[in-house]
Amino acid sequence: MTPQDVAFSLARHMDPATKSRWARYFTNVEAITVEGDHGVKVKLKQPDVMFHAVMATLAGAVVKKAHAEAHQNAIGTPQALPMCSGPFKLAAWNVGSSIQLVRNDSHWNAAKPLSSRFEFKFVTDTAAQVNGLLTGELQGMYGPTGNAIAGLKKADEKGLHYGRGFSNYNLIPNQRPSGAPLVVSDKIRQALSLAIDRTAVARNVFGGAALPTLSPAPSASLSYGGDVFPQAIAKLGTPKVDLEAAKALVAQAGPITQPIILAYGARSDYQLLATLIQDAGRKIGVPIELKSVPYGQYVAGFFDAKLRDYDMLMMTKNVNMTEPLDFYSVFTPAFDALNFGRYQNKDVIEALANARAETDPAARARLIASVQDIIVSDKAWIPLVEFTNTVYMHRAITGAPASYVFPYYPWAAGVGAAAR
Amino acid sequence: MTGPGGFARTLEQLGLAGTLALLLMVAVCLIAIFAPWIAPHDPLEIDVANAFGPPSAANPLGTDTLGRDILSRLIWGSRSALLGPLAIVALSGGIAAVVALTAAWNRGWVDSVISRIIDIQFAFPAILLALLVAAVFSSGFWPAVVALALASVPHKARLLRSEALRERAQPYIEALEVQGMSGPSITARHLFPAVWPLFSTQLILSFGYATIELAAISFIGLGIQAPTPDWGLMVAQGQATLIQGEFREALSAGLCIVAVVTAVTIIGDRLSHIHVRSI
Amino acid sequence: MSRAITVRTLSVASTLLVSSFIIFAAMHYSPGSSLAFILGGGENTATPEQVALVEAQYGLKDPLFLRYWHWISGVFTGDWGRSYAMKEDVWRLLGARLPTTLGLIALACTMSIFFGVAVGALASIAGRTAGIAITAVTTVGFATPGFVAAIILVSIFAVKLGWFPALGSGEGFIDGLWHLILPSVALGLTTSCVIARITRVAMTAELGREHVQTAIIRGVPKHLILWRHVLRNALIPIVTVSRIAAATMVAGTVVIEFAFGLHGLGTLLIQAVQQKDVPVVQAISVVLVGAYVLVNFVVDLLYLLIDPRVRLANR
Repeated sequence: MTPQDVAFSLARHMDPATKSRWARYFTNVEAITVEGDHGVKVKLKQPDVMFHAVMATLAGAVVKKAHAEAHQNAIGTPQALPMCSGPFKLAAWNVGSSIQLVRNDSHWNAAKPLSSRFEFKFVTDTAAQVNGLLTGELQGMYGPTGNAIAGLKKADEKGLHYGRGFSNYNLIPNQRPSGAPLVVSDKIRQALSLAIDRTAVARNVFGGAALPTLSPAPSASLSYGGDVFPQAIAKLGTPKVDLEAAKALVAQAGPITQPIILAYGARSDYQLLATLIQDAGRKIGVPIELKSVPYGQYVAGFFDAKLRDYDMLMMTKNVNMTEPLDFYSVFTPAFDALNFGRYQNKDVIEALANARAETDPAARARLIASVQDIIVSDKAWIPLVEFTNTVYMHRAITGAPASYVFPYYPWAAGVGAAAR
Repeated sequence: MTGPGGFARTLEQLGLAGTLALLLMVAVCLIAIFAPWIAPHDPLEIDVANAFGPPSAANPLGTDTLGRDILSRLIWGSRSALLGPLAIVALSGGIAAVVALTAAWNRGWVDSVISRIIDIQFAFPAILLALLVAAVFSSGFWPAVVALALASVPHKARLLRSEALRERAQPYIEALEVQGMSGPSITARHLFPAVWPLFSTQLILSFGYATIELAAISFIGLGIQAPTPDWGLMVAQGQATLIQGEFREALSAGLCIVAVVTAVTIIGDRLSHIHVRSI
Repeated sequence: MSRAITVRTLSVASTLLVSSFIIFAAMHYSPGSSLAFILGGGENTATPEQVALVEAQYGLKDPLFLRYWHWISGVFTGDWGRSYAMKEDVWRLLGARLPTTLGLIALACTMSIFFGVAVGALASIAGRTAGIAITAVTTVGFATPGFVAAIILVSIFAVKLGWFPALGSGEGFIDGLWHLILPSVALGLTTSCVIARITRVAMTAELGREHVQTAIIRGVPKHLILWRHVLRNALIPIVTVSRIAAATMVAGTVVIEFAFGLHGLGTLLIQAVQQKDVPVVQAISVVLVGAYVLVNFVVDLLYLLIDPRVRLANR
């Protein structure tokens, strides 16, 4: 690995031909240059706190320049396996079924991986996951669904570990492809927020591995700036159902001429969630019609506005860093592809732009807290629950971190056999 | 065809099993029609505190994962379980009759072309058609019904065509033709009634297949949508909770499907024996 | 004979061609685009330049006939394309899934023919009560959809008794086979009941025939009579049913794989249709339609072998 490789890897995200999903974090980069034998310098057009943080994610991963140039667009596909410098080597990729890793004996780090071999299997069916975990055919799993958690709890509760999550589940208004004004007005959104039983959602849909929340951004990301964020969270209050207040808001909103269409990805847990929201609407006189979308198409809908022919959807927006800006940026023009309801507020945009350039944590926290106030009172998105990061480990193994750091660092190196 | 007093004779020929099956189907029809009055609860009423409730006086079959009454959902689910297959049979039967009789009446190249199309469509699995229809028109009850109806046309058309061809060759048809009666009216007044007995039993039997296929489409999530009470959907929803040891929803809905299909099959079977005998 | 085969082959080819075009057109006109999956889905961050690049690369904006032409000319040169979503050669992708689906269908066919013929034969020689009981069981079994059978089998044998794995494909040959047992029972149930009923009817008819009665009176051992005279002649209607059964299974495997969470062609098809992964949908559809046509072809050949009358008629 050379500084040239590092500079190349970073610059690669900025080339449209790479189609990098991290490109949006590089918008403030002016130049990337190699400095001496062990240095790389990134010059920014303006201060950007998110750029610092994103270097600790996959955006900062290094790929060998010669390898990337040799394979161009095929890199990262089964035809050209990625070539990196981590503790494991990619031994096999059985497309659609598994990935096998073996220990990289020439890894630079003296602390070698505890396991010589690691296999990731793609098991999408909930029951197959639980069955595999209980029989030991699978030894661990991140992020089981609510049904899987309920099943695992019943059979082997000790194997389940919970850590902080970095994603919240939100109910999001959507503007139809026709460009017609939002069907779900702000009064209706506030009413729904008061009518939805978040405790039931957390328990019945997510197997208890979620916390009812009124905060759009995951609370784990609100982690600096002294007591600014704790106060901001306290201001939100605790989620509770208030049907009378909700009905009053619906009355103020005026008559609803057509049912609101709520789309969900066709999975049994999301179907339950959608049904609970529909029921909440029913109780306060807001007619909601459910639209099940094949899961793949639903995900494609996040990307393709033409597919989103409905009024509301549900989505997790996970943050890649302990920085709430990463969440709230969806309401700014640079990141707005996920701003399905085309929510726009000048104060929000301005405060967020200032926050992105603000290097003093307390000052930044105050700016973000002011944004949170506006977003929450407008119910731009309706927060439902905050995910608890769940990991299951069979009693034979130990060492997998329970918190949501697993997509970001080589934790597999620390997983090994449990002591008897 | 059965004459006066034919109903009693039909019953006799249905036998014990057939009569029981008929009674079951009548009962299911009545349940479907009077569902709002029979069902003890609103099938959509959620009571999350009472999820997976055991059978009790209030909920004879217990409650599902959202605390909804399983019995009430089964009762309401009988509506789509009857309406869907009925629509499929009517639609596919109608198309098949037109296509097959056109082919049989005209013979020659018309028949060849129609037969070729039928052959090609035969090779098209119903489930593939349903998947494609769902992809193009989004999933739902009516798209699934149309897809399955189209998929079952060739089966019906092929049998009807060969029967109608045989009938077409009968001398009396030729006589009618000579008398100057038009093709369509001979087909409608003589050809179709002649093949109707066989065709009608085939329609009854296909009701069973339609029930199974429509429920399967609901099961994989391409048919009728939640939270509408539907047996296929209930099996799917219940399957997700099998691993938690909750069997009631999936099993009871599955048994309802089996009962209806069994009954229809028995009736169709018995009636086909009757017709075979009377031919 | 050779003329019959030529006509058949031509008709098979035209069937495949027409159906592949219909499927292609359906994928082309279904709403949304394959873009999200080509770009990796999930994060909604592609810039307009990225989108334009991908559209040009994959010809997504080309008119239907041009796209179909690209695809079909690729097929004739042996290039079936690569999966949009998984970036893998289509046949390697299918190859990884094929053993599960083929194993499932083969196991289901074997079991249903074996049990169907056995139960049917038993019913034809059993007493009245046993006969009625068998009829009742086969009638209900016939009416049980595969996915309902799946629920019942999983509840009893996997969850309650723990004899079989509940779901998933398993690993290696033996384990894979073990994972396929419950699914193939679910898939083959309806068919085995049909075969049982047909076998029973055919055998009862054969048993009543003169040469069989003579053999019985002459004191030929019962199992010999059953084997030599009855079952062999009863084979023809059984083969007829097997044709329909195999076709049903090719389609039924989609639902059964879904119900048991198996990594087969059926689940891949469902996923590919949802993701508008055109090359994968096309390839699987051709395989499914082709399998159906092939089964029909083989059954016709079987007729030629079993039944001399058909052989004469085809000359």
